[in-house]
Amino acid sequence: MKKIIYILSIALIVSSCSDYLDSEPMTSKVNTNFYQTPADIEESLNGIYSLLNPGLDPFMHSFFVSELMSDDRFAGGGGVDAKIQAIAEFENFANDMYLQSWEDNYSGIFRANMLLESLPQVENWESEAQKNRYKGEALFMRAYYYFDLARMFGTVPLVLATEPQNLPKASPEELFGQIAKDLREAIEIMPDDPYSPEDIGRATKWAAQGMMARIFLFYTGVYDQSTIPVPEEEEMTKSEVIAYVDNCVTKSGHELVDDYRNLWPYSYATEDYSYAADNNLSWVGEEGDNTEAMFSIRFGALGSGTHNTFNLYFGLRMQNTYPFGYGWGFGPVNPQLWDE
Amino acid sequence: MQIVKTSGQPGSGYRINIRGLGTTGDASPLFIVDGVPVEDIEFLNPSEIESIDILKDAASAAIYGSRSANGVVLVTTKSGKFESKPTITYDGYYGVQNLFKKVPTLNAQEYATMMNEARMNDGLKPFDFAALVPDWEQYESGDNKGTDWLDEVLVNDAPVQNHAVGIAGGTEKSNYSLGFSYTSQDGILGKPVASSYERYNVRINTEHIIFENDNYTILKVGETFAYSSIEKSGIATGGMYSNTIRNVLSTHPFMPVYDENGEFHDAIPWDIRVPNPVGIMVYTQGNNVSESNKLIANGYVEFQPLNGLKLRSSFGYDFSSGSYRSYTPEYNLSERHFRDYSSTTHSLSRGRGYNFENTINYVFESKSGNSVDLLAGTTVQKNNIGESISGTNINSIFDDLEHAYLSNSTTIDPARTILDSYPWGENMLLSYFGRVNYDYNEKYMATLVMRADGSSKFAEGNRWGYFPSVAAGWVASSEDFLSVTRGWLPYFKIRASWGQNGNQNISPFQYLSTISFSGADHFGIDKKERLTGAYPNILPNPEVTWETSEQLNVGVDARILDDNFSLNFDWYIKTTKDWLVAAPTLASYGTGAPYINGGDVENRGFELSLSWRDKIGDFSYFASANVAHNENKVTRIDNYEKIIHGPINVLADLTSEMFRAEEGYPIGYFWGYKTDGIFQNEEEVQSYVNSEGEMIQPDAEPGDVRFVNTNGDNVINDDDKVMIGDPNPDYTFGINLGADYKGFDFSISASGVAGNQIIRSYRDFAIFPTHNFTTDIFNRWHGEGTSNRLPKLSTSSSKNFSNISDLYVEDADYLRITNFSVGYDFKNLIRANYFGKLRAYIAVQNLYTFTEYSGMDPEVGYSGGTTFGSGIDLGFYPSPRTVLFGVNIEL
Repeated sequence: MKKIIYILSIALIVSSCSDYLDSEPMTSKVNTNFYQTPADIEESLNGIYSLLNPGLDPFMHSFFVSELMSDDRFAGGGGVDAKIQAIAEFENFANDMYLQSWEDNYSGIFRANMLLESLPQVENWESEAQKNRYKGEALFMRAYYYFDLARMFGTVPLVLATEPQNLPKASPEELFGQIAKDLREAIEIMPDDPYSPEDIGRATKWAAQGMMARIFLFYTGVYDQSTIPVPEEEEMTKSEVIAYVDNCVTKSGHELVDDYRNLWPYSYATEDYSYAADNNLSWVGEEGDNTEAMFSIRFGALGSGTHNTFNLYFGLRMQNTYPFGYGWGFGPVNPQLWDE
Repeated sequence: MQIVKTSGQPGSGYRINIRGLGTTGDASPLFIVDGVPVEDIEFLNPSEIESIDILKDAASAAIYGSRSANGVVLVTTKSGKFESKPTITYDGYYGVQNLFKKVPTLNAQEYATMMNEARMNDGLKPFDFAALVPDWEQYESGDNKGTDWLDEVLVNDAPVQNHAVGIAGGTEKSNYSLGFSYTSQDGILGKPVASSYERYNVRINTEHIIFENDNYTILKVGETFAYSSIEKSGIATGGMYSNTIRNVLSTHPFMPVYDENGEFHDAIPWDIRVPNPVGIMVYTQGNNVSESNKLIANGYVEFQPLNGLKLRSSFGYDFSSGSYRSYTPEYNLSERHFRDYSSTTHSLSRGRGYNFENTINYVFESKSGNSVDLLAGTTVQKNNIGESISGTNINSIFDDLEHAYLSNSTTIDPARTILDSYPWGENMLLSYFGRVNYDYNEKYMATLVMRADGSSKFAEGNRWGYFPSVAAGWVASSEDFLSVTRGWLPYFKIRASWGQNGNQNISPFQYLSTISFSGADHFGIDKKERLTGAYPNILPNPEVTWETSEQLNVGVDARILDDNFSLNFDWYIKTTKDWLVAAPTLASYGTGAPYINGGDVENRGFELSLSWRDKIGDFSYFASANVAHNENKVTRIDNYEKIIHGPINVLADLTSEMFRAEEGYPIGYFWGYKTDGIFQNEEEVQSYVNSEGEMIQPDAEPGDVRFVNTNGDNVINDDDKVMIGDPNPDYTFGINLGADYKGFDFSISASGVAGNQIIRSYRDFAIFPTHNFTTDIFNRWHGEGTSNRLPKLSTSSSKNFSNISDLYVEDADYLRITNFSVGYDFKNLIRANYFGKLRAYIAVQNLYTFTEYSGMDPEVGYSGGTTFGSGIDLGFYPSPRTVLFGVNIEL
């Protein structure tokens, strides 16, 4: 009997080992086994950047919306495009009409928050510089998405953690303070060295400096302020922003191209396109000679939403006008813009 | 309790739910075979089963706490008895099965008339059939009635047989029971690739006394061992796509089955999109075979050091393995239905699990009649330890199922070669439990159970669920003051119980956030190279924990008039708490919603069973009946809409959501438009106005459906949709009658349901206007006063048909005579005394079904591709009617 009790108590002890109930998913990555290596961080950065591309419905994107709402363009399109024409008329065509823009920006913010929260658990960095660069890119993108929201919706809830929270709208000071804080940190930690050509379009120190200047102008202008108060840090002053811009101008290597018309690929078609030939235009391409692009939205050429659908929407309507693409004719330019 | 076959196809499973659906997740009960928890009991041969106990109320299920929220089905297989002489039994039958009810579809002439009527209704010229239908003159003249596709796949007199041999006996110290059996069943549909099913079972149960003294057994060991091997093949059933039954019911009659060369006839110009359904079945759905093997073994030791103190340790183990092979040849049934390569699929899987239980039990009885039974124990359980591997490749060097092995494909095709392997996902449970039973002279009794269960499905900190239960009983008839009634009421007991049981049958890892690698590609310099992006696609919910089912049960047991008549009554309220539902989310969370314990479901009802048993001389007979009433209601869903949506496109392509779970309604109720007859003329259209005088269906024409405008506005839209049916029966009932007289025996049993509905369509009305109709279409509207239910026909997808409405909903009440048998025991005629039994019988299963339901079988088990839908008939494989001849021999 003693023996039996002995065996039974062994069984009870074995049973009480709590790690008996531990298990791990074998065929999907989860938050506890992802975000372990620099490669994981790179993939999550791709996930953050990918939201810059609005896919097949670009007409809810802040760029499209602001173009149509501005005096520069009309709505265009055809008779069945009341939805898009409503944008240009500042009208509602549905509840939640700009939901997609809201969702995409907050998805980007969630992914950036997730990356920033997970950085401490990553091992095997190639260098401290690599870590700082990735962190800087995530901070830049969080600031970028908040600025996009601020332009579309005014002030918005300031979500800085992945934990679900139902937050009220932040004040302009809080929102722009955080944007300035993120960009300042990005500027401080990101490397001066240029990225490899494969990383074209990604956020750099110089892009952060430029973005800071733009946001400073926006905030101080729209809210009639002279500085941006930064939480737990010194406020962002005009002189600091000027120093960023100066630093960018002298160090970044970015400058305007000689003829702005060379920024677009149609000018490459010199032989077929007399306008380009007559004006001696030549596309500068995307890398190297293109010193003007500091940060860009990257598109693919694999169809199904990977490509640049702004071109399709804004292209000349239903005309074969080589070398210009066939398009749907949204946003025809107001002649005033040209005349002015 | 409701038991519904998921399909009438041989070897298909059952959906069992005890006292109503308590969750939109897995609502099947916990099955325990000889102490080993298993997924289902379909691998057992009924001849091996000694008894099945269904534990419905919380207190009796409590000791099986984890996973018992949906009830427990306790199966005990046959065992031998100590000190009994060996008996050998043989139970066998052979029978034939047939379809008991055909759905009548239109023949070629009727069909052509309807198609032209639709054209004319739309203001179009009649069809030029001669140009579209080969050999039209034969149809036009009426010589050829067209193809009845259901007839083409029907198997007459499909055989079914079963042979089971059992040997049982025991000595003073040991007992044993062995069983061997074979079952085979052919399907009634799917000719020439009709389904088939074969099963072999072996069972060995023994028990041995190792030590005993004069008064009690000190050490006892035993084991149960059951092995089964199943081989089956089947045709496609269930949903809208890839469903042979739906295809044969909906394909037009203009296409012959075979062409002049004896090949499957190509699709005809009449509708090039509709292929030969027999060809599709043979090529893509019928060439498959699956085999599964299952071993369930349980060994136990029972040690009784003192009289009444028992230590018991049992270890149960189950092992299963399976394989599946299928072959799809190259074929060409039309320019849209062809495959220029053959394809072979082979998959293998194996899995195991164990269950280790240790209990200590002490029974104490005092002379004054107090009896206390204490039990404490622990269970360690791990199951689903398994893995699967599968491969598909093309262009085998052989052209048949027999040689469907991947080695016979010699090339790898990047687009069509598929390889996959994955683990099943282990599931661990750890439990501690204790029980106190108290009994005073069998007059007052009480039970208290407490258990703690830890499950690996949840995050650390939320793994443990605690499930208490209490039960009390009072045998009033044992009280002295009721001795006066004992003459006519020998036994009367009142019982009550309350308890909580747990359910952890949810997907694992809900507490983690899965990382998605799709739909987030970024591009660098190369516009054709995707840079994979990763992101968490769901917010983790570390708080996720057990669903709890809480149940209050009050019951009465009585025996009346010399114990001839017995009555059991139970009333219950069962509430599923903390049901797992998708949480409300804000878009600013930035990713998908997590699952939270955020819903409640209530089931309440009663169960009554009555039985009568008597003997008059040599004639003995019995009659019993039971009825159960259940009311199912969702009482809380913690999301914004208070709804869990069902999928769209279930009834046909381009149809909206038609069933859902919503606060205040039964789970899976049918959601759609109510109709109020047909507009007979223009005046009726004009006068269909709301209180403001605005027309509600201004575009309607005579012959269109009048949809009920439930909200009083001036438009028919989603806001007017209401509950148009409930697939959950209000009542389930059963009747058994039997008698025997001098060796003759007779029995009949019937079962049924009432108060539920089925939603039915075989046509894909929006996309395939050429789909055939069933003959109910004769009752359509075709002029004023011709019909007030079915609308006029149209060649296009009109709202009359494409709206989900009560036109598709039918009452599904039925009473089915499930079994009728007469037998005679020839033992009485033969003088040889070595026969314990020599009975021969004839039985008819599924003899007749009383129902108004117009489909083939009112017992429809298709669930719309979800765990919570039911009562959806898209072309359902019906259960056959079987005539059996059998013998029971006992030596």
